[in-house]
Amino acid sequence: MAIQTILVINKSGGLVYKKEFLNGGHRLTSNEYLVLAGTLQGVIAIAGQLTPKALQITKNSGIKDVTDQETLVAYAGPLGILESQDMGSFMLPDYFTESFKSWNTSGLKHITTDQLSLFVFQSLTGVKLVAISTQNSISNVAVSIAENLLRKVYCLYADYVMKNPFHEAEMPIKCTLFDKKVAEMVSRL
Amino acid sequence: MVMLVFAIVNLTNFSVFTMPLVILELDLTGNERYPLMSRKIISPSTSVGQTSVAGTTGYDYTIGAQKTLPNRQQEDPLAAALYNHSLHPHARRPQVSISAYAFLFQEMVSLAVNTSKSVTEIENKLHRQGYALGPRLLELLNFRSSVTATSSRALFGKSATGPGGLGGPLEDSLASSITAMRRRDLRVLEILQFVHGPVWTYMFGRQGDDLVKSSERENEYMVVDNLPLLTQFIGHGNVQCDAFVCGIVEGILDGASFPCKVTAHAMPEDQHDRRVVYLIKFDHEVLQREALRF
Amino acid sequence: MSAGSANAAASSVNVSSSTKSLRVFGDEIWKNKTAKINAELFTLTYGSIVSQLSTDFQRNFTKVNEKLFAMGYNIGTRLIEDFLARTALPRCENMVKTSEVISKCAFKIFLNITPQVTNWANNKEAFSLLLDENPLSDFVELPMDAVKELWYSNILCGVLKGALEMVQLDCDVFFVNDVLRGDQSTEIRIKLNRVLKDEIPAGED
Repeated sequence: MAIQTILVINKSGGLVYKKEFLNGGHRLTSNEYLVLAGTLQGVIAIAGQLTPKALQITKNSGIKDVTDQETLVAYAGPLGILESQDMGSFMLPDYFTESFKSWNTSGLKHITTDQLSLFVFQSLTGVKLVAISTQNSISNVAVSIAENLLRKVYCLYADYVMKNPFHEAEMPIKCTLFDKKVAEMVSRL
Repeated sequence: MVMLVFAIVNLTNFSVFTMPLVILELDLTGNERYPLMSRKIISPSTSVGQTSVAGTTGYDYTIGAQKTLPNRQQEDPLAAALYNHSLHPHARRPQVSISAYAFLFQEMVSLAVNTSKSVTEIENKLHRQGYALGPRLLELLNFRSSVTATSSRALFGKSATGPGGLGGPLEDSLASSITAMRRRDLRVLEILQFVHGPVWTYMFGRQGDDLVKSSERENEYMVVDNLPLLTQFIGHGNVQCDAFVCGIVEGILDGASFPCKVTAHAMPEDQHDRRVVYLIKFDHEVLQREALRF
Repeated sequence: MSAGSANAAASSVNVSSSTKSLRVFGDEIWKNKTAKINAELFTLTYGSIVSQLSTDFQRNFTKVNEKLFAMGYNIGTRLIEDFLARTALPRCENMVKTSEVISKCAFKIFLNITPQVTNWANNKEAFSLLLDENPLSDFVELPMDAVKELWYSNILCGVLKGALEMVQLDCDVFFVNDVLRGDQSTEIRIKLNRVLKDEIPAGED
């Protein structure tokens, strides 16, 4: 899976980080990226409301087991983590090694076209991480790899953005180390 | 379990410490030179305060440390164990997560940034905060390295870990089993090795990556760190956050009577993008003194 | 028990069974996933900060308390991302669960301590954390002029306040007791004001 772009969208829908990895091809302008971020924010919100009422009621009535299974993301392997790597505040072999539950259960999670697919990872705090891939697949494997990758980017965000005193909340991310670490991780995929 | 060693119990029962360990002295200013460490051994677990008047709990900063005589009868066994463990070089040290430290450090930098007008001012503030730690570490690490092998056994024979070990049979206080304090480092090289070795290991869990003497200037030395633990998430920017570590090192060296200036310089190398060189410039008098003895 | 199964169990609705596995889960993460640093350096650094603030505010300890709280709040709003990235724990359905996660996971993972959860209010929306150990204040004694006013570890309250607010729980967090002030225990009170429903990110149920 070739990752084309990684985006970070803050909880109010503002684009705070974008990184493109592939050279050539048509690129979005900064403004178009801002529109994309805002649109995604809106669609995520609408998607929640589209959830059929019947399903919402079943979920709220406490029959949770089935949905729990559905939203559990399997661990997809190291995805390019090296044994000799500097892991920041985490420890080798990896940022996490267990399956985990997605926080985003009724919002938009992926979009696909014939040329690409887009994946959304949303944290409890409202931070959204987006990966755009050149592969037009949203198969279970692809989704799980993307979720794993985005959670790792979230770990990098926790280390190299949140622990940087010069980063201001909700503002564009200008942390060179975060940049570098994300690029390293994506290049090793 | 081991953490219990550090539990704060009966703190009010020994209100005056004679060992300036990590007691918060709120009046300590950054420029204060610490008195030279005495070779005389003062038991850290001695106390007065049983007889103190109600309402006088706490270290009285207006008076400072009070000289007290050891009083075995009043010694709280738990308190003694607490100190023995804490001062013992081989005791397992409690740890916190690097994240917790990094967030605290991040906020300390923010505080300095928000209250300063210039980069120099920010760095000076961080430097000063580090400096306050220096003299404490000097004393503490020297004390720990003074403990001999025999006393290790006395302490850890039965009570290595666990809450049971705390109240366990401790024949003697740790201090009384030390015959002499470790000799003070008198030569430049000795004190630098102390910084590069024990101090670095204590703070960052490993030795410094290199210790270099400047080929150009007689009074300059460099401690190299390929990946500074405290600033690893910040990296190099306009503000050199490693000024905090500079302060610690300068505090230690000043406390050991090697007055100097310590500055940090980002010097990335291929493999180490966050490599930092701590430049230590000794005052002229240090070199003069060094030249006196051969 | 693997961390994976602990996590799966942690998300179960049964509080009594998840109590134990949350502990295991927190321990596992502390042991295997979290890089560590000498706690004494942490204590000393914090001491240096409080000391500096005391000087800056000319020993007006009410102001020092406020400043420590504000610093903690900033930390909390950042630290929560680290906590979530590390644990991927699901949203807590009630304060009982929240208290367990704070004590057995959050405190464990960051400070390697597990405060007791106690003194529940009748409506189960307020509780206390009893800190038997506190790495912020090891070996600290308060000077006489500070002993009645300074909440030495007040930064912790700020951290909890900030972190909880980021997961849309508006709480009051404050110190009730502190052994440094001669009290029998160190107690932090957490009281839920309301759940910030409007701020829960869309896409969650």
